[in-house]
Amino acid sequence: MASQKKILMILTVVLAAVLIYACIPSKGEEEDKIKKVNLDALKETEDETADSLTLTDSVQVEVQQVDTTKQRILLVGESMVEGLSRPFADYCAANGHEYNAVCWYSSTTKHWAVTDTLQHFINKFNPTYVFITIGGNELFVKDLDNRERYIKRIIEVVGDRNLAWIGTPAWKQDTGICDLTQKLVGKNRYFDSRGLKLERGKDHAHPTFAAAVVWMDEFVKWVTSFDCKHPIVLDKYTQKAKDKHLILLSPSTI
Amino acid sequence: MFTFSSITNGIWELFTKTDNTFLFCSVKFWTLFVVFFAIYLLIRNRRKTMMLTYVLCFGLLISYKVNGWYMLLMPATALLSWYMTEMMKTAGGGKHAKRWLAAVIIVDLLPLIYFKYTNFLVGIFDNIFATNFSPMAIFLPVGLSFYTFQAISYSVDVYKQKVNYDVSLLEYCFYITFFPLLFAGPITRTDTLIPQLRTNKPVDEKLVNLGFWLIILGLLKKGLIADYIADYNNWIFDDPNSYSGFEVTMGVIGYYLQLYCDFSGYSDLSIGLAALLGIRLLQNFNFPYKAKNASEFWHRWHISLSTWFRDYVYIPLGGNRKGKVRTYVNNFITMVVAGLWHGASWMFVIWGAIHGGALVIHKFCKKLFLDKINDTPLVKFCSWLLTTLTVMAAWVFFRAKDMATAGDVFNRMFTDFDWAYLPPFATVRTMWLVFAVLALTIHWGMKESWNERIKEKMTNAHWIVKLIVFAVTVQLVINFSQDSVQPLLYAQF
Repeated sequence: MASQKKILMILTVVLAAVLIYACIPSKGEEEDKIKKVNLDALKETEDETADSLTLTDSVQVEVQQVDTTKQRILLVGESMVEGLSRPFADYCAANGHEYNAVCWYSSTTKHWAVTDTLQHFINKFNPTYVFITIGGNELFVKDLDNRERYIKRIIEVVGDRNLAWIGTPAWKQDTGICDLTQKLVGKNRYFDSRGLKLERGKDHAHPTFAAAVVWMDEFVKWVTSFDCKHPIVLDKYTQKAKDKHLILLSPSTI
Repeated sequence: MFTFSSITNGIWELFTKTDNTFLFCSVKFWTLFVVFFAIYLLIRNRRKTMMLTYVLCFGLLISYKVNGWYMLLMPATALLSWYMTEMMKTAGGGKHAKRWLAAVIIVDLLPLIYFKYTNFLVGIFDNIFATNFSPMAIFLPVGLSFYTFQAISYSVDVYKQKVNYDVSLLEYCFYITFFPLLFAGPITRTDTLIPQLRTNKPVDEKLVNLGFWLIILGLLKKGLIADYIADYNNWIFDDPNSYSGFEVTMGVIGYYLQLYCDFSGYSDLSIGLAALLGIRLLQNFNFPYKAKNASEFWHRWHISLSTWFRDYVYIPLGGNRKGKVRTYVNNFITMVVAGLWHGASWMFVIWGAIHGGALVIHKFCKKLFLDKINDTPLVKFCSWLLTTLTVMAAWVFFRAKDMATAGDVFNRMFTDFDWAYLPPFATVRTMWLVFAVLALTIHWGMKESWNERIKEKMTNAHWIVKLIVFAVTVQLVINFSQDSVQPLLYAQF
């Protein structure tokens, strides 16, 4: 019986320590080295979510006009940007928008949130509209609470600039990153690419260059419509842009 | 943020809300268990009826957590099975008793057949008669396969008078609903469990301490190693053609290790939990990957299942009592049925057939020439290698969703293997390699005597040492359970 009591004490102490530690809020964007269990089930959900803001915004969008002015567009993200950036450059060139793209291979929301890369390119190009496509390397993540912090940080860095998030055309069911991103940025700032049937490359994940054009065309239908919070003009191009304005960043570990 | 109402709501849901992630490695389970264990220690030495009822109720709660109201199947099976076995006993032997036995086995098997095999049987029907019945959405209650087999073993043992004492309804329900056995066994015989419920001996302190060590070991194997390496292995088997032959080979080796760590880890947790309550269960895995032939493998792997099939399928079929050819046929059939027990799919049948074939070949060769060969280190090594490769290859069929996927796996391994992938693999998947090596070390790297020594040391360690080891283990499981491994080595096209 003595051993059973001691073991009960050990179980209780360790469990209590785990639960108490999980209640302590994390500091900053860096994830904790000693990770915590997820206690979201014990937390009150926020009443105001991006969705409810979106509802209000989308009522306003109905009376909103398409922004016909020339934009300074910045497209950032992971490797999916490489394919998307080509037709995006073509569209921008045809419509007089200034365009720059940054493709950071293997990056995740963590990379863009904890480094100053995003801020650097925003400072450099001073965009009026920021398009983000991050998530392809996080389709199977388990720490959505950390990802939530990273996405919020990215949104904070973009600030008051127009923002649209191009969701990953996931090739299989993800663990929640797409829904989480949509929830945080708002439905009218998130283009859900999951329903698209795109031809994939040899890795069975990235769309081929031809499929990326199809993807871009679908995205343009959305970003030029009132489904998007800030629709702009993107008429179809008749010729391809000479300069794709694409900056490539090699993978790095964080 | 945390509020009083959100916390009380969360605690209420901990007891009442169903949750299919509620496993022995989850914080939710351990939270409930600590509360259960505290009350258990208070009432353990009071009336036995109270203790049995309490543990039984906890088992039903755990079953409800994972199965929802399908959990009612378990007590219903227990009640029917016990009652029909009692009727069999009163029939007093002969044909009447045999009919009752057949009836109780059928009643026990019916839910298993319905929930597990309906769509499989519908598929066979469609193929044979060119019909087009669509599969039904049937939920498979967790633990059904295990407690069904326990129920059958009880009735058969009573019939054969191996269990020649009365088992009360309460004891029997306890036996069927005993929560450490709920998710994945081990399939425990009546003789192992019931006599322990009747003893008034004080709890064996050594058993309790051993149980705690087994819980730590189980968390390391299942919660840490198996769950971590599973991510990568799943990608490989989901789409082998997206990966190089080297990566696919690593996935196959990884799955071989994952399966051992997962199953044996879970068994350690089950046996450990039972030991904390003072109940000794039998060992379920005995370093199976050290086996040098198929027969030895099945004496070491999932022992409770293999002995169940031996006693309740192989022996009733005739065992080895009807000549050589019949022995081989019985072996083969038993393994095919064992394969089907694992899942309602032809892939499991093929897996069972491979093992059945391996057993037959071993038995045949043993008599022919194997017994005449000297057991030199080279012979032992070759035997082990052949057995390992056979087991590993069979696991590919066990895991692959269909023959095409299994074919793709082997195709990639044998046509696209290149050692040049090792350096980038080691760079990107360092932790996966670390855990794979750890699994290999736990299984092969240690002599069984070292394993016994570690077990002895941990069992007798000071409680502060146990606290630290347990805390570190739990934190490692939490840390690595949230580690997300990227699916793609390098994102570029």
